[in-house]
Amino acid sequence: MLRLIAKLLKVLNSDAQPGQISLGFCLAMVAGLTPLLSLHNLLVLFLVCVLRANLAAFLLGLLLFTGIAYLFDPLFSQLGLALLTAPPLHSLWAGLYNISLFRLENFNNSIVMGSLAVSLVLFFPLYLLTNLLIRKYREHVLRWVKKSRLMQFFMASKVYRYYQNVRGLGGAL
Amino acid sequence: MKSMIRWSGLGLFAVVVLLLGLFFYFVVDGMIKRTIERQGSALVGAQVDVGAADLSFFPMGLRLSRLQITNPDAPLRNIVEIEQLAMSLDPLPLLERKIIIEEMTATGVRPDTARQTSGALPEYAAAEKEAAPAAKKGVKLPTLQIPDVKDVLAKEELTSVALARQYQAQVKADTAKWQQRLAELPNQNKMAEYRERLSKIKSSSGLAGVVGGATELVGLKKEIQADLERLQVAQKEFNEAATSYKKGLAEVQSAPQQDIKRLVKKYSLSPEGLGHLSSLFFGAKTGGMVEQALAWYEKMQPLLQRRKEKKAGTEVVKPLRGEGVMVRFQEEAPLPDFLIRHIDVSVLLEAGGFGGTIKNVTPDQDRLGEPLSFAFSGNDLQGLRAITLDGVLDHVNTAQPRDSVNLAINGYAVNNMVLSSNESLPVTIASGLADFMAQAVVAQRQVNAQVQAQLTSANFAITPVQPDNAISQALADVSKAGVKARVTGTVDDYQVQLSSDLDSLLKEAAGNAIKSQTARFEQQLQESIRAKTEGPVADAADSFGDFSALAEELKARLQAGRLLL
Repeated sequence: MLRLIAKLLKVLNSDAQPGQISLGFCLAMVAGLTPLLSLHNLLVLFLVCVLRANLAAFLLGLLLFTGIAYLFDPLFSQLGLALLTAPPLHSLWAGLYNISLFRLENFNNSIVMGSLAVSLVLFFPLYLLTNLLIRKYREHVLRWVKKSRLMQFFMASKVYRYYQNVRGLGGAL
Repeated sequence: MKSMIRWSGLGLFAVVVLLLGLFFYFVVDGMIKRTIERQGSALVGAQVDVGAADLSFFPMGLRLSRLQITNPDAPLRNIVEIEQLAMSLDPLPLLERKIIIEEMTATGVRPDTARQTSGALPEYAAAEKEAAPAAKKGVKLPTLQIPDVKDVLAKEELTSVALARQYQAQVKADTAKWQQRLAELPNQNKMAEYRERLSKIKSSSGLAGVVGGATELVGLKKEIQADLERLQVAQKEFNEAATSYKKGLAEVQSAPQQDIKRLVKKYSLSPEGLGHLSSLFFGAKTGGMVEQALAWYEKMQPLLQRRKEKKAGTEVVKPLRGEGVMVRFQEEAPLPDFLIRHIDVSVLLEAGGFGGTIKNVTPDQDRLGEPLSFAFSGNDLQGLRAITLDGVLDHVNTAQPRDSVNLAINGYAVNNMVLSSNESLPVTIASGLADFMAQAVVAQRQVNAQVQAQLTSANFAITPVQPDNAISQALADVSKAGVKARVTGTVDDYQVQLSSDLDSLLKEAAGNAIKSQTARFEQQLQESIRAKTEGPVADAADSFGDFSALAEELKARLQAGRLLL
């Protein structure tokens, strides 16, 4: 966990493009909010590996969103059921239901549908918001943070030593 | 674009997928084993154990070895133990998350085997304990042996003796009361006094004497008239009391006969009393079998039909595992989520082999369009000539499910089968041959079942032997019997009606024995009761004699009074 936070700090403070960090974080939202053993998460994993998404942001995001998903599962189920039983969407679902790949995806499960719908709807807004926040952080907060007492204390801490070690290794991530 | 793609990531993805595949390959057997054990235990309410599970991919199939299903009512025994269960899986439906097993073979199926450890699960045991019905009360049988007259009279109070004593005491007290009343009424002395006074008045002379005498005579006559009226009232009341006591005496005299009748009825056995004895013999056994069969029928329900509800025209189904709800849509080629098309079962009984097939095991019969059916048979088993069991559990129309089962057993050798362990009539079938036929239909939870059993070459035994027992004597002559049972009502509230030709056989066979025993008992009882009641009844008659004597005295006084007027 400490290693992961150290990596995130390193990424935030590095020259990595904000888009890569945001993409990793947003893909983590999809994988974290939806049931992990779903077919679409194989696609998410593929995208994380092939696109230049930041892995540290993905892993940290996955932890965060998996925890959140437990709280929101009942809501996801209600939303998913409402979508799956909505008359205007019936023919769409019925068509997908007869395709094996979508059946394997388990899209007709209320939690899968609800959580996937929420994560897809939030994907681009979160991507843009995270991008914006990273830029703002680097422009305004990073210098102040480095000088703050808290950061001074942090730099003397074990977490920072990890950060230094990782940086020393020159991790490409 | 080049900066967006990380080509090395393809390799990373391949490695991750390979590692996941390898992980799945190595843990899948354990996952299957644990899933079957967990789901099976929840279904049965007791531990289900799988020795090992082996999933093969080419061709796709699953092999389970040493499957043990604990009997929830006897946790140290298995309901069934299956040595090996092999099945072939259709891989394409798996992509649609459907488990379609085309062929399953169960070999080495042994019912009712011993377990090394208890298979009770505390969470289910507690629930069962709460729901357990109250213990059934033992069946009280009529007295089947006529007891000794001395014993009967020692514990029975004779109402005739009590009645005679009560009568005697009452008559004595009343006699004393009347004697006292008679003392207060005008007696013979008083009449003599009136007579003397009359003579004096009649003998008076002279005008003054005659006039005075006439006035005195009128006064005297009034006195005599008043006394006569008192005597008449007393006589009337006495006569009423005497009539009542006379009636009472008749009752006292007939009371010993009433006692004899009552005791004969109480302690002897009438042939009519045997009319429902077969219910006592077979009722508990039949009731237990029906209860057990219906309990298993209820446990099987999740395998036959799952809970579904319609929402906005689509079917919402609670999945057997996992969370959330599954919404189903119209399929082009509908298939159930779980289906075993064909199971070959080979059961190993102590008596020999018994085998059959089960078809279409699925909780989604409405999607399959075919009901579950089964057929088993066995021939020339040890102690059993033939057995066939078949049935159809039809839940294709989920609103109108109809399940039917037929069972026929021929030439079953009965040995030492306990029919009644009741202390007063411990009956067993020492030996015999039984044919058994049962047909049961449960339609929309309404039960209609008929069971017929025919027993031949039977040898009934009552142990310990009771030579004076009329039923024991009657059963000794019975060599064949038929029993019919009918179960009607709902699965939750059913009634079992039993009838047997054993009832009429017992009634007929026991009739003569009972008659002679009863006559002997009545004779002995008559002698003994007569001896006991003779004295009190005679005393009661004597007391009535004393009472009646008072009537003469009253009569004499009235006559004397009337002569004076």
